[in-house]
Amino acid sequence: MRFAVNRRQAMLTIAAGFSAGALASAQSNIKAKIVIIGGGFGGASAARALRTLLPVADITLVEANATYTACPFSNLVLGTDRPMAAQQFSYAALSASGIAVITTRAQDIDPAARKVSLEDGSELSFDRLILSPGIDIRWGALEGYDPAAAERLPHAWKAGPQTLLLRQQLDALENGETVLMTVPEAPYRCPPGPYERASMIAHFLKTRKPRSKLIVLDRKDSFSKMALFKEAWAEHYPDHLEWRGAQDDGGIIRIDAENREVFSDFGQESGAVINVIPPQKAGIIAERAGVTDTTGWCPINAISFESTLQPNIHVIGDATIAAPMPKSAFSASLQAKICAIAVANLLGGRTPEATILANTCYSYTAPDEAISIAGVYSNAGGTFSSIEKAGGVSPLAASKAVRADEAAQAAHWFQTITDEAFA
Amino acid sequence: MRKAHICLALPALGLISLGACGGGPSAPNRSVQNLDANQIGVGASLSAACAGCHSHSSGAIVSLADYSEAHLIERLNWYKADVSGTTVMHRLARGYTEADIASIARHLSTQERPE
Repeated sequence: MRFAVNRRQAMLTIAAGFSAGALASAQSNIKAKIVIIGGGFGGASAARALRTLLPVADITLVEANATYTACPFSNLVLGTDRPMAAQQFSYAALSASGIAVITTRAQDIDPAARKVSLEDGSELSFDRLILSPGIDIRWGALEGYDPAAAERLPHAWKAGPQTLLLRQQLDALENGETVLMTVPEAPYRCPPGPYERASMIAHFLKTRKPRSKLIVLDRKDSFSKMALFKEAWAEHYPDHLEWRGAQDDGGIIRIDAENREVFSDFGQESGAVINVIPPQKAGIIAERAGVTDTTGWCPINAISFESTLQPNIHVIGDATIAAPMPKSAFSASLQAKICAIAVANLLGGRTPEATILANTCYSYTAPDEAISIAGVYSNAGGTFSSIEKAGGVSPLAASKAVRADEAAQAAHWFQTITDEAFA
Repeated sequence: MRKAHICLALPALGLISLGACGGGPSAPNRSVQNLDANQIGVGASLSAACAGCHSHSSGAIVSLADYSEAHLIERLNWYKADVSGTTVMHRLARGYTEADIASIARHLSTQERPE
């Protein structure tokens, strides 16, 4: 039995990203110091890819949390019986593979001196730094929404305690009370995420608080997979979900957390539970590294993922300006691998060259039905562009079997992408 | 023009046996040495996207571990051509040229398999 478990672990390790294979001797000898900040899908996948590409390099991963809580599928924790434990992953396998995992917060970065200072006062020097800091909330950008307000009106846009808080509030909701969700303008983490969440909350209400209803107040008039979501909502949640776009005064500009009220230009709504998905920016360490621009996000060269503002610092994942490539776990995981190849090439004195990248995002519309969007991108010339006639969304008016197949594929994807990063 | 040209014999993605848990350098890939290094670099970068969904265990998404180069080329071109398809593979395959597909198929099919 023990053998079987170890065998499975071995198989999962094998499946992860890059595997040790034939390495050019030049790479095998590179003893560079590489520091990676942020242990999500981007950072963990980058550390693993580099561990394989550069077997004798000094690779350090700095991550504030000992346990990672994944955002994809956390909407199912809100709306179904999916346990939070299914979202959580440790860094044990990374440590075992020779990556130095440091559980602390990176405080500051000195790009000129190539040093990272950590919360405990120690410093790490680097030849190349990879930032995968994810997002931070742009506190104050939505009037009235600050860290204290988030304890009453959870955003749950970083999975973890906020997810559980929102779920507890939904559990405590009286049958018949109203739930509100506010949605920001793009860009934000996971473009279809709010609408998957709306579906899962509506499912929760339909099955557990049938006289309650969710109202989604959106600052946009259109969104990712809109026709598909609206088709699913009309079928599954006609009495439990109402979406209002900017044209219908859905754009929320102010929050009163104390009284659980939200305000648009002309209107006001109140809810017993309010999920505020707030405006976002790159994780704060990116600002301290000097790799954010006036948008709050990080401009990069799309071939190398090197910051256009600071040499020797690369940025991957949600923090980057990579449109049309979306801020998704799939994107972060793939960008990590392409960035790792680029870093290995740069350290070996070679110039990284262009390739083709892709993305797939599944969204659940019901516990056993999902829809998807896919895209294929070129990074030629150092900027991302969509490859014409490729990508797109699931067909409208498809059979239950098509939706059920995509729900099963989504679950398989989650297993694979988390194995890639953590198993 | 897009031309991936990574001048290294890069290790493969997702489909090589490490032989043991815990990582570290393992036996070299049995096939890589016979191939042109530039071609391997192209295939490795292009194939990185595949490992986002395809693992060693077949389930709702099939494992590619047992696919031959010819079979991979045939399947990817079938997805590309099938305009009525409903899966993400139909939509993704349309983004790759025949040369891209050949590189991907060659790369994926020349990795070591778990026994």
